[in-house]
Amino acid sequence: MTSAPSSNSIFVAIDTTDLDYARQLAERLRGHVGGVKLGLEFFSAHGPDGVRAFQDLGLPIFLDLKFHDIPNTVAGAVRAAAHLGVDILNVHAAGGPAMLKAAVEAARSVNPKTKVIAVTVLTSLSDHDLAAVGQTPSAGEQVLRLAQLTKANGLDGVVCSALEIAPLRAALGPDFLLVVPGIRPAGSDLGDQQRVTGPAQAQKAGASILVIGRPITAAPDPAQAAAEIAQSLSI
Amino acid sequence: MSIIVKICGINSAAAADAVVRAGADFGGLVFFAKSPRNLPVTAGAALAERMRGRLKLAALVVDGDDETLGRIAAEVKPDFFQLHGKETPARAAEILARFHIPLIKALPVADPADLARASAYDMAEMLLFDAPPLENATRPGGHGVAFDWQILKGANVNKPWFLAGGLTPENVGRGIAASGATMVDVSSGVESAPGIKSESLIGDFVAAARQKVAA
Repeated sequence: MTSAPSSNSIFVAIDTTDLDYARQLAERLRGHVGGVKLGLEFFSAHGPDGVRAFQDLGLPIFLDLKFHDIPNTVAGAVRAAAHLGVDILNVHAAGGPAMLKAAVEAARSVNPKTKVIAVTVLTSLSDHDLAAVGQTPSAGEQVLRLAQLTKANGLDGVVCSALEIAPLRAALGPDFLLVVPGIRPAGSDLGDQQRVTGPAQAQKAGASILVIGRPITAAPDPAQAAAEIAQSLSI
Repeated sequence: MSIIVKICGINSAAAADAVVRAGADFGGLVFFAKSPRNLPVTAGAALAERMRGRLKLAALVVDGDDETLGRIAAEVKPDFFQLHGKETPARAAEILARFHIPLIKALPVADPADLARASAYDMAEMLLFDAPPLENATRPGGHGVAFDWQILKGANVNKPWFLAGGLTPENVGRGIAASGATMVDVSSGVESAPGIKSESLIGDFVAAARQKVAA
């Protein structure tokens, strides 16, 4: 996943329950994106067979299921997901050190190349929300704490918001994967995202992978939209 | 004949100094907000001053309007405008007539038919073929646009042209050999992370490009 010079760092988020549409979309985007992200909505509808339907496209897959349970259960889930041949999968860092260790060991036992990353604090949680569930540090402090815990337990990286890229890159070094959702190129519809960080700013700040959804999937020509973003990043 | 080397996306004083020290022939500055290598015009002007006279300066623009180009022309005073967008031949001619700065026109090349478009850009002093190498197509996360460098070998282009796209210190020798290029352009291939130029890779690239011809 580290920097092949012209490697495409864009993963397209395919959030839908329509399998045919999802597959067609991925087919059209092949060559213009670096991978696809399949999430809970898609997986709940189509399960492992849905993931397998993408395997012959040759696109790396990020299976975004955010496991969070006791270590044994998470280890089992990770093993099963790794057997699907996905390139990246994730867990919640809040599951604690033993769970993180179990997750990464389980993945490595199936495929040493599978990247295991962690979600720190859900981006939907404000400081107020964190306090409501008994977590008193600010979101920023909690993100850093959980990211450091993630690294200490041998995982490959974290999912983080655009605003967290620079501090996490500084704290965690050059080789830790920072996977950043919610990236929107200038000029695209803001949707439900409040703050906008463009692909160039995110990449310059140190993002490893940019997860981009609707600005590509809802574009009149998704392949062209993806190609234009990739091209801009290469200039 | 020595291979001409252009290092693009110079965005720091350290990178500018490394490019000069490595003996590159061209240095490129990017003026395109959507690029991780974008420079504000004033910052670009300062980097240009640092390098001026020691190499040719190219200002890379993407479908820039006259006002943007005018500011760059006045403050950066580049030796070339590198038109890296969808500028038509008519627009390129207009830019040349207005600013009297020689042009490098970049053209994406994915298959041989794309090369035919080159002949429409008579007004350009040089061309730059953005041709990602074939090997990336099979690499996970690779660009995926396959291009056979050998296609350029037979290209009937009556002006100087750069080979660009996915070049690195490691593959530039093969790129030159396969394409017959005498000029090469690199940006991300001499970076440690996107937008972060590596002084050692810049030196390696220039050395590797020139070694090929000596060999």
